[in-house]
Amino acid sequence: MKIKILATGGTIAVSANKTVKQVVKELKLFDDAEIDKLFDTLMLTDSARSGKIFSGEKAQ
Amino acid sequence: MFKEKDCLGELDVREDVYYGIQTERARNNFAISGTTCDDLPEFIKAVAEVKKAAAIANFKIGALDEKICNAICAAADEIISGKMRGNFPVDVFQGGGSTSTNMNVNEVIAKRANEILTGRKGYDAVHPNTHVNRGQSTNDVIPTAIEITCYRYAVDLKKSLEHLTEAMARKVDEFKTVVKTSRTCLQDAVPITLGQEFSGYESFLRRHINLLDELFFGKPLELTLGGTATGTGLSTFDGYQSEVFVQLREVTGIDVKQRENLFDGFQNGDDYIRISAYLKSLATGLGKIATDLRMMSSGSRCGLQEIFLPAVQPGSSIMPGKVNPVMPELINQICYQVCGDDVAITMAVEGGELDLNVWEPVIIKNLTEQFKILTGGMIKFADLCIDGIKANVEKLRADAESTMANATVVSAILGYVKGTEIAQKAVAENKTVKQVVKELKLFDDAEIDKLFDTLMLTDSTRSGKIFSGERA
Repeated sequence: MKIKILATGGTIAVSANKTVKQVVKELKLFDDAEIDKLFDTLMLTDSARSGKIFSGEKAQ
Repeated sequence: MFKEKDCLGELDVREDVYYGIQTERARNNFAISGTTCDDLPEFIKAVAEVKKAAAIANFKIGALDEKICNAICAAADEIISGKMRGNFPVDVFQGGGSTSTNMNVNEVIAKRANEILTGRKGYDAVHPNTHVNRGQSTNDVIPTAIEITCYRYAVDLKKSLEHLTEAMARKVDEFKTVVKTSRTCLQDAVPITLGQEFSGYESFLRRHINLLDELFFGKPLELTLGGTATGTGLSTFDGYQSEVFVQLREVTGIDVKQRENLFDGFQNGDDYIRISAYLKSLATGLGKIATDLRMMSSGSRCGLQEIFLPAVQPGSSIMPGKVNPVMPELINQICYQVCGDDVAITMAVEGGELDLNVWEPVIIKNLTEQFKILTGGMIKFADLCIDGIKANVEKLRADAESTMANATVVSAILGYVKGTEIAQKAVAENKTVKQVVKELKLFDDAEIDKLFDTLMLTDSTRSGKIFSGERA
């Protein structure tokens, strides 16, 4: 479910000229600590790290 | 009509097809050549195989529900079996680095999977992006599918190449004692056997079987799958990177592994260059053989008339009885097309910028053409041309005996100056070298017959011994 909302979030971010992270925060899709973890751009370059984090989020 | 919606708005999509709004937009945007992805069934099959492998891998690591996975696999199997032909209408020329092709497959699988699960087409149970494309990007799916497609094309090409090679080998044996004159710079040169000439063709073909083996077989196929958009693998779930390769090996039956450096794989298309360069090398060699056969068979009355090609069709709308060397002419044209395709592939690979090469649509279109016309062409060439070639034995023997290059025999034993003198006398008096040598009594008659045995002259293990004896 969260993933579907995130896809919509991309569209909202474009039309509102905000970052995806800002929109996700505004929509309170995750708590702030989680959002900082999810949008750590260095982490996003490494599937060994991002895969674990995404798997954890999906399990919740 | 179904009314579908994407981020650009709504669009009507036909109810009797399985593709969706993104495919419909692309179908309209790129309808230029009349050749669509439906005309690349092996490629579409490979994309569907990637989707199936990804779905099973995602299920195995807990990232996809079992019933959705099973429905995706069932829908993918229908594409793999060819049952979904007609649902891939996007032109092979397309912008967007094959996103349209990837989304076309995603949409068809999603709609069919929905139908399997719910009894109706739609995306409510299975979504093309969320489920079918999970853990993937066009950017890793399409290069993976191209490599798999080329591997299978290579399997077919090898069979065709082996078939032609065997046909050529039979002619090498058949023509092993047929002596003729060779030619260099299109001028008469020393005697050679027709079998020796054909053995060069056979050797070229065998070498290209070995080169094909080196290029494709006996090692895992290295793929960019798992890299998703740019090589970082973003959006894949824990465990996917290794599991998807386990599943892809199972689905395709091909030994595959992930590339060591995915960024290299995304940035560069030198794999395609190597494949195309190999195909160009094969095509140009085949073209050379075809040209040779056309020259040797030129006539029917006023040409070289060294060999006879099988007549496979009448050759003129105005000149009765004329028959053309149409099969070698086919091979020459295949060569020209393969070289043209290679130019397009070379430019497309060079034109990649920053973190991705987006010219894969034109690359797979041209690689497919190269493989297909070479594979089909070599079978036809073997069956309708090479197999039926006959030698004009008496004409060839007469040519071998009359070539001025036989003065080489004299020069090898008595020196180049004497050889030149004999050759010039033979030309001036319109005689053979052998006749002049006899008249001048340079050797006794028995020796002369031995020295000018044209079959002996084609074999240095025999001629070398005789010449050494004469010099001694």
